[in-house]
Amino acid sequence: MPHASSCDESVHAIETGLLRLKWLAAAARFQLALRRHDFALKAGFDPSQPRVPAGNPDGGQWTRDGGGSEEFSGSDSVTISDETSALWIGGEQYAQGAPRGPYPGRGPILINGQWVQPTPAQSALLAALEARADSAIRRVQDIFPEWRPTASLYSTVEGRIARARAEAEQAEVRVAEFQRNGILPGLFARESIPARGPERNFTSLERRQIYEIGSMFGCHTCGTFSAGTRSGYYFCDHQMPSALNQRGQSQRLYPQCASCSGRQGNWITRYGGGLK
Amino acid sequence: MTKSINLGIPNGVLFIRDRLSRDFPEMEGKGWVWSTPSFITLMCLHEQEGETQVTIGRSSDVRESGELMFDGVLETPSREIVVDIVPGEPILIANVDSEKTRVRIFGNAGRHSDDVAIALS
Repeated sequence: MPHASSCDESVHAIETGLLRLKWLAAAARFQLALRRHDFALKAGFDPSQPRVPAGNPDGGQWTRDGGGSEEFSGSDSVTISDETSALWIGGEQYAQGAPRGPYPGRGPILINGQWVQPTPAQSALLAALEARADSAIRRVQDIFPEWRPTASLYSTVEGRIARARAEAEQAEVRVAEFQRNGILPGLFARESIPARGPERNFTSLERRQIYEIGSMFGCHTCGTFSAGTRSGYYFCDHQMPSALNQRGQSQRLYPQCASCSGRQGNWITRYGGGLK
Repeated sequence: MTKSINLGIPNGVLFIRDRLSRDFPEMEGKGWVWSTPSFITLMCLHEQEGETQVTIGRSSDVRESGELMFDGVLETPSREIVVDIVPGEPILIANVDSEKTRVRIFGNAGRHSDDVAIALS
C-alpha cells in the first residue's frame, strides 16, 4: 500500500508540474501577442491603410492615399510651417526645437526648420526605436528624475533614427544596471504581492506568500533558489525600493536572496541615499 | 570606552568608514566583507530576521570574541570612524587618534551575525 501511495503522489506531482508548464506557456503566448499588438500600435500600423497592388514594382508598399501625410512626397524636405504638428505628443522640447515625444509612426519630421517625410520603413523603425527609448528613459527617471540621455543633434532622418537607437541603448544600460542591483524588478521577477506601504513590518502571511513565490521562481534579482538567509526564507523586497520612491508610487513585494539584498543596500546608499 | 546600539539592520549591511570617505567597495563574489582603503562594507543579520548589536571602541575595551571577520588598516584622515546603515544613516561614531587605524571586526555568526564588535587600535 505504501508503494501505491507513493506512486499516486508522484503522478500528482507530475500532473501539477505539467499544468504549471502549460500555464506558463499560455502566459508567454499571451504576453507575446500583447507585445506584438502594442508594437503595431506604436509603429502606427493601420490595417486599413491602402497598399500598392501586387504586380506593381512597389507592390505591397504603403501608399500615401489614405495616410496622414498627403501633402508630402517621398523623403524630400518640404518647409510647411513653424507651428507644432498635431502629430506630436508630449510637452518637452527636442534640442532642435521640435516637441518631445515618440514619433507616432507616420507624418513628417521637423529637421532644421524643415518638415521631412521619412519613408515607411524609416517611419516604422523610428517609431519603434523612440517608443523603446521613451519607455526605458521613463524607467530610469523613476529612479533619477533628472537623468537624461546624452544630447545629440541630427540633420537627417537617419540621424534621428541613430539618435533614438543611442538613447534607447543608454537608458537600457541603466535599466539593466538597476535590475542587477535590485533597484527595479529583476530579470527573474514573475509574481509579486502588493505592499501595504513602505513599512517593513511584514505580516506572517506576506512572508509566507513571498516564500512561496521565491520557492517557485527564485530571487527576483539573480534567480537563485537558495535564499542564503538564516531562516531559509526569502526577504520581502519592496519594488521600487522605498528609499528611491520619491514619487510615492505604489509598491510591490518580491522575493530576494540575502546577497542581492545586501548589494541593493550598498547601491542605494552609494547612489541614491547620501552618506552624511 | 565603547559605544553600542541594538537595532534591525536594513538589507543586513553595515558601512564602516572614515567620516569623509565615499569610496565604496564593489560587492563582488561571495563573502560578507568588502573594503577599500577607507571604507568597509560588512554583511550581518538582516532586519527581517532580528536585531543586531553593534559595538565600537578601542581594542582594549571591546570584547573580542567570535569569528574575526576583518583585520586591516583603515585610512582615517578625519580621525572619525562612522558606522552607517542603509540608506546612509549614521548609527555610531568613534574618534581615533591617527590617520591610520587598525580595524578588527568580530561577528558571532559570519554573514548572519547578530553581535558585531568593531575594535580600533
